[in-house]
Amino acid sequence: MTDFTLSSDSVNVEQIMKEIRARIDEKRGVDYTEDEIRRLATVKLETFLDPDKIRSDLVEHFRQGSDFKHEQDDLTHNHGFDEKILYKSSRGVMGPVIYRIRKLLNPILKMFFNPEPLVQKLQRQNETNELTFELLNNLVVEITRLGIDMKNHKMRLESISSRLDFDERRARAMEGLLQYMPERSTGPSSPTTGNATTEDSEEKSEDGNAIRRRRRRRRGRRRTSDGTGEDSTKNTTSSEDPQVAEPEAAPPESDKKGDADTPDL
Amino acid sequence: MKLAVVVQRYGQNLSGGAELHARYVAERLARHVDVEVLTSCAHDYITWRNELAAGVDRVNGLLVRRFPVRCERNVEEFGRRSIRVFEETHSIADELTWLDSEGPTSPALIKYLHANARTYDYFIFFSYRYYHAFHGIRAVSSRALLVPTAERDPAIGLAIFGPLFRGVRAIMYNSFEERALINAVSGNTLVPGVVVGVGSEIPDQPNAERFRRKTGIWGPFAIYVGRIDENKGCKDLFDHFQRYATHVSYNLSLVLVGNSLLPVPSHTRIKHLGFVSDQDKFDALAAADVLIMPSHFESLSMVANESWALGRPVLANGRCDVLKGQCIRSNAGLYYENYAEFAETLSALETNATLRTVLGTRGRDYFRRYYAWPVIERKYLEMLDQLEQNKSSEQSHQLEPLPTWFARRRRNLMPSREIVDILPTGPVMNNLGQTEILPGACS
Repeated sequence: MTDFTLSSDSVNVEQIMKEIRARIDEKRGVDYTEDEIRRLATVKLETFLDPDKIRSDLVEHFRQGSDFKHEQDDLTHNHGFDEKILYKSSRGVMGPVIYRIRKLLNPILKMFFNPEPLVQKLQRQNETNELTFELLNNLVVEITRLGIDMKNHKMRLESISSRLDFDERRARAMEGLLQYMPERSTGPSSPTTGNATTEDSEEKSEDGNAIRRRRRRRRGRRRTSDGTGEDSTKNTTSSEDPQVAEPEAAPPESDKKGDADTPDL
Repeated sequence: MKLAVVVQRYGQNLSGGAELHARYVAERLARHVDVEVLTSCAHDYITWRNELAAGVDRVNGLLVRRFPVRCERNVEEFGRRSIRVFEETHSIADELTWLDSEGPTSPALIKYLHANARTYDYFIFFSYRYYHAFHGIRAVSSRALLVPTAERDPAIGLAIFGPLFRGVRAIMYNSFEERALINAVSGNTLVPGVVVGVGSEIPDQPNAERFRRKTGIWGPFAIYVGRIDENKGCKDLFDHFQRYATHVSYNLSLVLVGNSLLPVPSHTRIKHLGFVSDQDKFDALAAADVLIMPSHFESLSMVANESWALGRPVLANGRCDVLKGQCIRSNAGLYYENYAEFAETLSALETNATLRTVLGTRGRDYFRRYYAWPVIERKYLEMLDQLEQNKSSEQSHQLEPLPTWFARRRRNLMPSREIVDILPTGPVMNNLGQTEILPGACS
């Protein structure tokens, strides 16, 4: 975590930041910024509105609708619906005049039907549409974020499970070693009982030799019993306790990446 | 030579970067030339309410002339007008109305400038975005210097400010990023400008032990100094630090110094000290392991400079071009753009004492070389000398006039946020690709 190439004359912050970012990528996979998540979400939203599956021109239709609404200032959802919108006109200077004429004729219109409940319902519907769209958009963003989280958690899980495997194997090896240690301490291999005659003591003595032989082997077989340089007990040693050698096994590759001292991000 | 420092507020106990900046510069320049301060009667930067007496006052020996503000800011109206000019297609008239509603609207100050243009050799205006700077520079453009204190916010994209940046005699920038931003938005590369920044009054013997005894904070801690506000990135800081404290570090605390406009989370390792004296602030900085600057928008961070002056590294928000640029140029701070980077960089600074020491040493050098007061004073005086030598051009100097009545009302201006979005981003590097740049280089 804290090993940087540092000297007071040549510290380079950009280099340090590169190292830090490389570590983050190594540990977590690619990290996404909020903007990237939103971009991904946009892609997902378009996938959700799949033209092949739903309606061939739905996305295009939706976008055109948005543009149209933007152009028609009165109909933008920011302003909502009200009574005025029904009577307004976008014909520049003539607009207010037309608006007044329409208002004047309103009582005549009301003889046929009352537009006010209609406006209220449309306003309510407009608000509902806005909420639905916002909700949908937020849901897609959230799903994208969760998808990324899940991917990172999968990677993390793989790393932890491989580390667990390694720890279990190491634990088994240590248990084997512990089982083996009491036998040596209670056995006749002490200097005072080196000439034991019983079968049992001979086995233990053989174990004792095995320990010594193993030590010799680790030192590179510098001496053998017959002086020929061959280890006559080679097979016996390896078959007696194969787990003893396991603690020296290298950890799996994924564990090398994880560092017990690094922060849990 | 007689100078006038024109600033929106002025006083001994005012918080706010530009105001403090103005006071420091005024008091330092007063050692070399005759300086007066022209300002409003306001104390609160949100309402601009007249709280100080109009007329002549003295602050730390300097003569200060205060002028009343005609009307307080209507926050709702200002918000509506801000949306109009920042988010919608609009006109010059809309922008001028926005400026009036922003304040501090002090016609008396502008009238005084018109009447006394020849009383002063030069006027140094602070903060381009306020009423006093816009109308004041229009009143005395041939003698106006500007300290813009500009940030990457939508106001910089408003069309009314372009002629201002092109029409002053000189600009004293706070950072290379600020200069690049203003050059890009206004095309004012021909206006003399120098990256100056501001120094700080660093005490000789800040005492970390005194701070620890006083507050009872004995463990390692990161510090934030400034207004605790969402606009300053404090909300993100709280989120990031709480995650960091839960998952990464079990030792480091976060100490907050400054008034809070945001609820501070109740966390055993977040300690809010409130507003403290300068001595306590410097003691706290000396005791801290690292200063965190989470702000998105800065034209220059004075507290980052102070931290470097005391040999403390800085961890800055990498989304702020200015802070990132400062960290890279000084080689004295790290930066982050998301939580993962925050955790990794803070952990590196917390656990690696050598890294802290090396960055701190570089920070101290950087401060001494570029932000010590003699350097800052020299840059101001050199610029004034340069203008004095070209005094003949003062007569021919003219600011672009405002458009005609009809042209001002034509709604053909892009939303300023869209303009800011297309401006170049990122920290400014020098042409040779070296990490060190001389801020004193004149354009």
